[in-house]
This record gives sequence, structure tokens and C-alpha cells, in this order.
Amino acid sequence: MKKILSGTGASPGTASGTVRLVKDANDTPRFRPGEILVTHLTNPSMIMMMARAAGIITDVGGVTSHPAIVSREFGIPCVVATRRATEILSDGMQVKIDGTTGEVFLVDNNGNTELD
Amino acid sequence: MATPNWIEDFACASYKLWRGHDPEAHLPFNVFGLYGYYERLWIEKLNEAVMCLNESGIGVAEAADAMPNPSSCRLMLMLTVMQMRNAGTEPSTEKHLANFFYDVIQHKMNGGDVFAASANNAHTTSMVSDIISSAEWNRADSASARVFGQLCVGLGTLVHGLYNDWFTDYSYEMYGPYTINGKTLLIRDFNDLKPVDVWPETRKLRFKRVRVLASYQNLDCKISYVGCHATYSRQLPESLKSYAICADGRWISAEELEDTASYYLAAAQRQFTEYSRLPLERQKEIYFVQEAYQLRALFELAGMDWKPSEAFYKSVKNQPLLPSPWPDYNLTFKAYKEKFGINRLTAAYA
Repeated sequence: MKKILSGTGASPGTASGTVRLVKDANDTPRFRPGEILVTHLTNPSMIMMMARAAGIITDVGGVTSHPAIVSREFGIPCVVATRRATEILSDGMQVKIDGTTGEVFLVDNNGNTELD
Repeated sequence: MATPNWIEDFACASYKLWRGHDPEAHLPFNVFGLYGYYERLWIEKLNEAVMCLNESGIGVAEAADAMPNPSSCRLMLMLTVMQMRNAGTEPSTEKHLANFFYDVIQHKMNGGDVFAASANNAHTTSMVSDIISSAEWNRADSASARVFGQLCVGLGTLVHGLYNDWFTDYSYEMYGPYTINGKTLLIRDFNDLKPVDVWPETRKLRFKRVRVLASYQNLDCKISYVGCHATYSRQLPESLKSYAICADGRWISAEELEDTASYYLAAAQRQFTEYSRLPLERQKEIYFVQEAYQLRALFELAGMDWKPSEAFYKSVKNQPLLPSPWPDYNLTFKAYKEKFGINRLTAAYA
């Protein structure tokens, strides 16, 4: 499996979906339900997007930081402290996130996790 | 006076709160950047209040009633110890304030774990029984469980935007976990959603106080030091079996859940967006009001004006944020005790 990021699993579970990079509340109109929200660190102004996300990936944060607390209440997987999520991921990429192990994988166009 | 045993318990429990936390995550700004300008004023004010209570013969029980919930008091104890270290507070004052916070928290916990090392169990068995039997419960299914989670997030996020990162616990307390008939009960109290003295526009919001009860199956939950930082073994919506929501004394029906959740998610986003767009100078002013507002009832019980004096505002006006005295939270326990003021507190009792 092609793991592309590793961080801290902050909310358990797995989800696959399309990456959407966001910076602040201004990104809300272009965030589609079921997308994977990727950002440096979430903040409360992103809450409407987070409520629609299938999963969350951040560059920084810990298990008691904002994305972690919110993801657990929403019941969606979350990986924090990846350090480079916003650098490596871009809009439209298909990924699978594992909020238990803290790993992010690249998924091919057929929905398979890409092999090395 | 011998060093009280509780200091080590305090150290162990509070240490877990910081591990894995990130200084960059503090919103809307890292308030530790104000430490160095004002904390002597705050410590003096706190000390004056506690001395007034002592001189008036007001005991722990009455003082505890005027204090916020246990998690809020725990966080204030921790921040006060940190402030006292930074300010070089006299040992007698350190002991005086630390003992006050400990006595209050102990009273509020009704025999439960004072520092919530793994649970915030402030309710006795009969209290829990009364709470459960008087609630109007709704059965949860997968759809309503997700919406219920959105409501909890909306309420918690609103609180975050009303009180900043440091004083969230004042209006967001989570009690438990309590094990009842094999299920896990969590009690969330959002006790002040309309702090008009801090944010006048909140008078237009729907509810002042909301209590949320949730019963989960096959869920392990751990609360460390403060309630809203709970961690879980599974995703919450999968485990939710039933819930009850009381808003300003009225039980919210299942039919009202979705509208209430949407309302608070939107309110939360609006509040924080507005807050984060304010200039830093205005955010500093609001910070002092937020800090004092938590203890409004205590200051008034002591016969004092709760509002920050001009000296607070003057101390930080047009001043740049200082480097945080605590730039790194991932420390060994030994380093934590030194840098976060625990050793200094211990020495105050020597």
C-alpha cells in the first residue's frame, strides 16, 4: 500500500474520499459533502465544512486539539500532526485515511489503495 | 506546613493535559504572550477575593457554590500556578491560592477524583440516578446519532468562540463516565451560552443553559483533567443508544434535534469568525473580561467589582505578544514540574 502521510490518529475509523484543501471559512462554498478536509489546523470558523467532511487531515495538532475533539464528536476519522499534509496533498486527489493508525494512503482511480 | 499529598496528584493529572498539545493551536491567539505584562494584577485580585472571603467567615461550601464547574476550577488552578511561577509570587500567597482552589474542587467533586485523572465523576450514585430518572430520553438511530454529535459540536464550538481556548471549560463541562446498567453515561453541561457582559449580542441566542445527557454502549471513555478533552475507544455516533437534551428547563424533542443542531453550528461559526477578525488589541481587552467573568460570582461574593480595572488594559495596550514562557508542551514529567510551577508550589510549603 502506498502510504503517503503519517501522523497521529486522533479519531478512530477509516474513510476514503476526495481531498479538499481549505484555509478558512471563505472556503465553505466550495467544500462538498463527503470530501476529505485537509488544512494546516482547523479552527471553529471551519465548523460547517467539518460537519460535511468524511474525514480530516491536518499538519499540526494533538489528540486534544480542535480537529481531534470535533472529529470524535462527529464520528469521523481524523489524522493530525502529519507535518506536510497541505504540502503533499492537493485538491482532487483520492485518499484513504485511517484515524486509528494515523496513516493516509493514496487511492487509484478504481478506488484501490495504490501499490508501491 | 508539610507539603500536601494532593500536589503530586495535581502534577500527574495536569501533565497528561499538555502532552500532545500544540502551542500553535491556541485560538484566537496564544494568551501566554500576555504573561509577563499582567499576571501580578490578576494574582493580587484573586488573593484579595480569597482573603475577603476568609475575613467574612465565608466557608468552602459557599465559596464553591460561587465558583464555576470542576474542570474550570482545575484549569484555573493550573493557570494560576503557572502565573505565580512567572510572576515570582510570594510563597504565602501561592499556598493561600492553591489551597483555596484545591478545597473548592474537592468540595465540588463530592468524593470523586479531585483532579479527574481518568474520570470527572462529580456526581454521587443517587445524583446520577435522579438525573437519569427525571430526563426525557430519546432513542438514537444512526441518523439521529450523527445529528446529536453535530449539536454537541455546535454547542462546544460556540463556547470556544465565546470564551477562547483557555476558558472554554467555564461553559463546557463533561461529567463521567458513569457506568449504568452496562452502558456509559456522559453528562455535558453548557451552562452559559449568553454571556452578555462579554458579548452583548448573545442576548439574541436561543438558550442560556443546555444540559446534554448521552448513553453509549460498548464505549470506553477517558477524561483527563478537564471534561471537554475526553478520548474514546470508538466513534461516538456508532455507540450512542439514547440521549436527552434540556435547554433552559425544557426538554428538546427528537423532532427539534436537527433544527437545534443546525442553529448552533451556524451560531458557532459566526461567533468565532467574528471573534477571530477582531484586531488583536480588542481581543486582548476581551480576554481580560473573559478571565474575570468566570469568577464574577466569586468576586461579587467577596464584595469586589468583578470587571478588570484599567490597570489590566493599560498593562498590555499596544504591547507585542511576548514569547510564551512555555513554548514546548512535550516535556518529561520532571521538566514539566519545573517549568509549569509545580516545584515552586511544592517549595512554598517547605
